[in-house]
Amino acid sequence: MKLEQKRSFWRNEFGGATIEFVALALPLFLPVIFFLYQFATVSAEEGLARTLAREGARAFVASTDQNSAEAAMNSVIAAAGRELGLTDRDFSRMAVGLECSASPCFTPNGKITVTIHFGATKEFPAVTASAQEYISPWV
Amino acid sequence: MGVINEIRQFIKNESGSISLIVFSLFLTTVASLLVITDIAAVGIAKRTLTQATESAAQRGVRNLDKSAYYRGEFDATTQVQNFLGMGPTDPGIPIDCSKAIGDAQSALSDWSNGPKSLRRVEITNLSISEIHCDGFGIQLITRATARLPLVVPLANLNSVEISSNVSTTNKRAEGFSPFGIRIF
Repeated sequence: MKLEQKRSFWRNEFGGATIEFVALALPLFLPVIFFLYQFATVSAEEGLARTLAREGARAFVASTDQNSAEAAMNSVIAAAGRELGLTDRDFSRMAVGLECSASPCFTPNGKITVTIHFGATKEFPAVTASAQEYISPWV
Repeated sequence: MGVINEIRQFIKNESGSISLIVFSLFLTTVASLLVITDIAAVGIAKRTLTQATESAAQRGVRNLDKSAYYRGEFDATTQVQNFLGMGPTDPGIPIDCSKAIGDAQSALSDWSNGPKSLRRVEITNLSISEIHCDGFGIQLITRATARLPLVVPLANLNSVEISSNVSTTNKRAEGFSPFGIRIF
């Protein structure tokens, strides 16, 4: 009797469409969803890093001297980062780099390169973006 | 007759219909994904190109044309005119066009040859298509090829041309600077 019940269970097609849909859709669509999520997140992070680098470089060259330039750059990056939704965790894996073509950095016609680097996490790779600006010849 | 019946049965048979729906949906999703990814990548590349063009234009516009700047200097007459609110209007800051163009070109060259993190990987063949300078401002039009990260099948499209158009002028710093000495 029980054997008969089991046989009728396997032969019964009621709900088969749902199982067919799940068994086919999951393996096909899950990688697509993961790819979309990864691409969107990495692109957004790179865009954010590029914006921060650009704004930081602008703040640096628009300042009046070396000390205020570096402070302005750091404060603009921090404020812009908060404005763009960075959390404390994001800030902890962010590094700001400053390269200059002259010493001190704030030299007329000098070139500066600001680099923003977000370290890799378990889910996402590291992201680095830079921006270049030139100090005014009239400082 | 038998063949027609078989065809009718085949059409009416619903087994495996879900698979067809899932596969057609999947193909549509993948095709959309390719197009969306490419559009997003080109959008980001264009933004990067605009930032580089802005930086180059800003570097160029800083070249002051001293002879034009000090022409018609401030004197007692203009002081009285200013006091009465009838002073000459600020014509803007004159720039040395040849130096401005040279500096803008050099800035873009620096950007092209600088570290990879300055550019998006998609951007290649950067060139300046037009530079205009009217003595007070500079307009820079740049062009580049953006390679598509994913090639859409059958579309035969693996890169697109992007361009960026930036204009900039200088602004006099407001304040009080008698004889060039800045007080505030």
